[in-house]
Amino acid sequence: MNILIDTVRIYGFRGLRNIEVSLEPFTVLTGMNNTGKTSFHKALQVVLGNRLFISPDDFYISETEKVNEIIVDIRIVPIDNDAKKANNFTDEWLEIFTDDRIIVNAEGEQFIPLRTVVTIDSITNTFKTKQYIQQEWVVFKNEDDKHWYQSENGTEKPFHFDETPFFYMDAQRDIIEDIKVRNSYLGKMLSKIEYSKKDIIAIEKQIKELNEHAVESSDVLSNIETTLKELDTAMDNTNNGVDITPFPKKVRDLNKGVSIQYSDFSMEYHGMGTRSWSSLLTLKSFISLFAKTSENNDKPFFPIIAIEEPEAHLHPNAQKKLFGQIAGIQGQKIISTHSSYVAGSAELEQIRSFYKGHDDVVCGKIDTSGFSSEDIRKIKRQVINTRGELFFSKVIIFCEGETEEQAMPIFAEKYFGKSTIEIGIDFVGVGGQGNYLPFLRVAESLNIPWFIFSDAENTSGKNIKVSVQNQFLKCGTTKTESDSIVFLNDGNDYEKQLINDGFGREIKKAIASLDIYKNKKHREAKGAKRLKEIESYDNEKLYEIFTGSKTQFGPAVAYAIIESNKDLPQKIIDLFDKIKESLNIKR
Amino acid sequence: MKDIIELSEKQEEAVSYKNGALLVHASAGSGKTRVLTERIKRLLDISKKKVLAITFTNKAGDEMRVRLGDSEKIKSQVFIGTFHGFCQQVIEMRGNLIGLSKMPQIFEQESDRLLLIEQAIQSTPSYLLKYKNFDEKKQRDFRYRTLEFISKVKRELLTEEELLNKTNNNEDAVLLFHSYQEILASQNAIDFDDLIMLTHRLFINNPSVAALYRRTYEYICIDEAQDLNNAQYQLLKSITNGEYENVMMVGDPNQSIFAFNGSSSDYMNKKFIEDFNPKIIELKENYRSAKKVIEAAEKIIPDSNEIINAVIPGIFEVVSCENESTEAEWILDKINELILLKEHDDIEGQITYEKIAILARNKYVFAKLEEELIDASIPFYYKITPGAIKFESITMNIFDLALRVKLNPSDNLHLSRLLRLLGVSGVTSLQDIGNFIDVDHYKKALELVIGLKDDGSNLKKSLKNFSVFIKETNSIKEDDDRKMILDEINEILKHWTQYARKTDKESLNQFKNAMALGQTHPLATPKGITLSTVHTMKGQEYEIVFLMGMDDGTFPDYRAVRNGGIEMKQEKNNTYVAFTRARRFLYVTFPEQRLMPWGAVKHRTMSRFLKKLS
Repeated sequence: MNILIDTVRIYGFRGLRNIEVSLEPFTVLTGMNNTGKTSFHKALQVVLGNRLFISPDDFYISETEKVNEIIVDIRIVPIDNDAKKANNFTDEWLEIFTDDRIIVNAEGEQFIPLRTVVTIDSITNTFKTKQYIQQEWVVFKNEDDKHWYQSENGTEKPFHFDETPFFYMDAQRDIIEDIKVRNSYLGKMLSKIEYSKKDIIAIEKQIKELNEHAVESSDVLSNIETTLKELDTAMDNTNNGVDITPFPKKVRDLNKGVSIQYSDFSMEYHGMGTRSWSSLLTLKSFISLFAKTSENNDKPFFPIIAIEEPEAHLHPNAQKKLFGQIAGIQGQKIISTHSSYVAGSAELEQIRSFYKGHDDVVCGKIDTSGFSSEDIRKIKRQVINTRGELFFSKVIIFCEGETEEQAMPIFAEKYFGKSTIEIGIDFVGVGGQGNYLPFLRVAESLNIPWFIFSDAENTSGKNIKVSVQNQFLKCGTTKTESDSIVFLNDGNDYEKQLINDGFGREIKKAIASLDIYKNKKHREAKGAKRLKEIESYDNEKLYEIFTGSKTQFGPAVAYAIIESNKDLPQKIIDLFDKIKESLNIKR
Repeated sequence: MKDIIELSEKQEEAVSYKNGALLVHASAGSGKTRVLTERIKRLLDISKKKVLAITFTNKAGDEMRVRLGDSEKIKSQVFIGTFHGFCQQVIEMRGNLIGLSKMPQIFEQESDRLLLIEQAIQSTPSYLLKYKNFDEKKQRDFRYRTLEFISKVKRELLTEEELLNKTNNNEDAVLLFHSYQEILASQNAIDFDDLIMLTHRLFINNPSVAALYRRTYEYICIDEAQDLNNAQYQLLKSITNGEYENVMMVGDPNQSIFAFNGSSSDYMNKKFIEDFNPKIIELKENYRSAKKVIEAAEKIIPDSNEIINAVIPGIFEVVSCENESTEAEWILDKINELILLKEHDDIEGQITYEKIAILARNKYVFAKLEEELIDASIPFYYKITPGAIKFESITMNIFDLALRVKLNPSDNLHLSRLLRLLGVSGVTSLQDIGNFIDVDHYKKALELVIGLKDDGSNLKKSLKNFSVFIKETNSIKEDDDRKMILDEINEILKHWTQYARKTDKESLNQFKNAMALGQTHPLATPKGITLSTVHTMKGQEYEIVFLMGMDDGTFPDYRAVRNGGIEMKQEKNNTYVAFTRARRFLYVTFPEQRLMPWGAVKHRTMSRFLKKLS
């Protein structure tokens, strides 16, 4: 493999108004539902594959804008063995693309700036697709606020090469359907089964014997045969007459009856997981056959493969295994996923996160070039492996520990009037004030909005506030501190803050609710005395118990505060106000 | 299926030459185009890369394309075009590298550029004063000279400083050059010379772009290389850059026609040899025409170039026949004999009707032959130039012009021509013109037109009556004139019959239009033997040619015999053209007597041009 589609730009296609996505040899698209991952696959299909699916609904439309053309630009570049951009296309690709399509910039770098434009004829309701080679690859947006899609189209040149086929597999794949459908990848392969003439004669002879044996050994079949032979007495038939064949008579009909057995069961009896997985593997097989033919013809081969949610119906370990199998397919792969296992199996550089804010869908990626290997290891271990759901968040709140992590969803539900899952808010306790940075880097890179809810006390000579501020500065964000961080009052941690805010009564209630009695009798005996004891705790004692160790205190206190019908703690309200503003959520 | 093409030893040597520079000196008729196309075909068999095939005209490019065929491989792996075509494509795709983000419009017409020169002079005040004092002719000369100067500057690929030096510090010329370029730029336009100059600049400034072309095109072939100019040769060198050898040049050093364009055979014969040290192959043998045919043509007008190297013997015969019927019969017998023969050493492939053409000075000579061909069921067609019938007799020209004016009374152009022909002035209606004509048959022709009905219903009858009148009138002195008018009347009647057959609602107007579009011509579908006048045949050649009706008064035409001078010279040239239409066999025939339309028999003698030959 020595070429690569390294950038894709899409304008006006479905929900994608204006987006740029850079690609790797293997790219994993993450993001919430409805952010445009499938649209991205389909946009690639517009460029490289079959365009019959295009309909008027594919043209971007919003309250303020309706596009009348879809523009998709892709840039194909030569790469070296380490997948690094090279200056020149190799001879084999030069022979394919030639001077007709290869552009050289002033720096002497070769590439193909391919533009595809789809327009609609409103009268006939038909679509016209034209492809162009542009003179150059312009910047996404220049100093005059001119966007890439406003640049000149260039010279019209169709782009369709057997050497760069496009394969697309949607999430509804099923091997059972594939067997039946001729134009599925399996169907295509089955219809190409070829035997030598000698083999055909030998196989058909064996089938004949098999058929005869099957009929002879069965009373029913031989009876039917004898009876049907009476047909000959009525018809003037000089041919062989009746033939009962339990097995297909001709080799060319074999593909019509193919069935696939897996561990002694026919595929029909397997679940969707196995069937979907098998379907994917037939694609892999199809592509390797294709590759072999190209190699035999001494031609280069670079398939572009788009797969939607390969994890469908599979358990976590199978998902990880599958990831490895897809990675082994030749060509450029772009998969979309909603699985933290699949996303977690990918390298950081392979992730592209689609995020839809108020404006256009944007794409984020983790640029690891400025990170040390320790930084990367931390991100993988602390973020990806344990908190893979972050890839699919709408907004992330980072806090120090589990207490806040568990309490805040309860407050949020009260504040927003919706569950946090519905909104897409994830609360993440980073496990210590020094651990924010890897998380911030990921969230920032993926373009997912994030906030910090941080303590502000001084422990063992360390000022937490300063430490968090330092991490904030390092994560490379353009946001201001006041927009993204809510610090508790100076000297406070979460527990002290609640006590200072006057929630002592609710904390006491929570402590009481967590007491465990052996039985009703026990409670009657000890309860009243215990309540009195709790009632007598001063703030210091409360703080000691609250910070004690029981993480259950977090949610318990939160529930107690909500039940009290008091306003939520001010700092929590501050945080949620910021989130509300940023997400434009109506309470 | 591949055509099996026979190649001579020398041709084969050039065709099978693989890597390295190659110079093919090919004289006229030596199979140059064939060698070029065959070599390209073979190169494509061994290479997966592209071939750049530069021709000198678009027409030559089209011909090469036809010869190469239109397989996918040819389409994607060969660029066929002129230097300008190639450069246009480069600028279109890569103009941004030299600051042209949008493809400029190309001014290729000389008239457009002359207009720009005029504007450039207007906006160069220091020159304008001088220019204004010139008379009209001098101004025009000056414009042309300026145009040539600008073109030369571009062909020489001069820089700013060089420009000033080369013009001996003639600042005015430099200023004019700049004005001209500025006007072009302001209209986002470039001229033909700019195309090459800009592409050269692009390649020189961006070596990696030149390298892309060097890598993409494994072979470069240049046709008509004797016509290269400096800019084109430098462009070639900017691609090859001293590290690329597979350049083939094909050309005839004796034949440089574009001399005004700064072209010189030195680029092929000296520079190319110095720079590329090519293998040189000489193709001298002439395959285009047979020896006997060239010898015959030589005797009409001497032309030493072709005769020496002709390798195919061929046939040339002059046949005298008793009358027109025996002439037609002789030709018919010969055709049958050739077709039966099927093959002949001198002729490539089978002898078919399609390889035979019959020529004559004018189409009326074919009358007898046409009957015979139809009787014998031999396929033939008339090669015609589209457009209305061109009448030769004054009488029928009067008829034609008057008919136009009748059909469109506001057609002043043809009215004035009619008046000029008749020597009449100051009249505007057809009816009035008659009063001023004193030649009987002219007057009759005019009256005939005036009397025609718009639906054409009386056309046939009127023409037949007119025909009778022409046969009897004393106002025509020469029998040749009389015959010509009668032939032409017959011709219109034939067209009318064809027209009337195809339509159910006739009109004179529609008939005239259908005739102009060539829809009324009988037997015009190209199939079988070609019948043609010498005029219509210019630029085309056939393996076997019959030239009939070579009697004095027919060819040369009786009017040339009468008038002599330039007209006779023209007839002689046409005879030469007629002869050289034949590649292999040429049969010239004439009748010793002709039957006139009114029944008289006239004695004829052999054309004066043939006398030297027999």
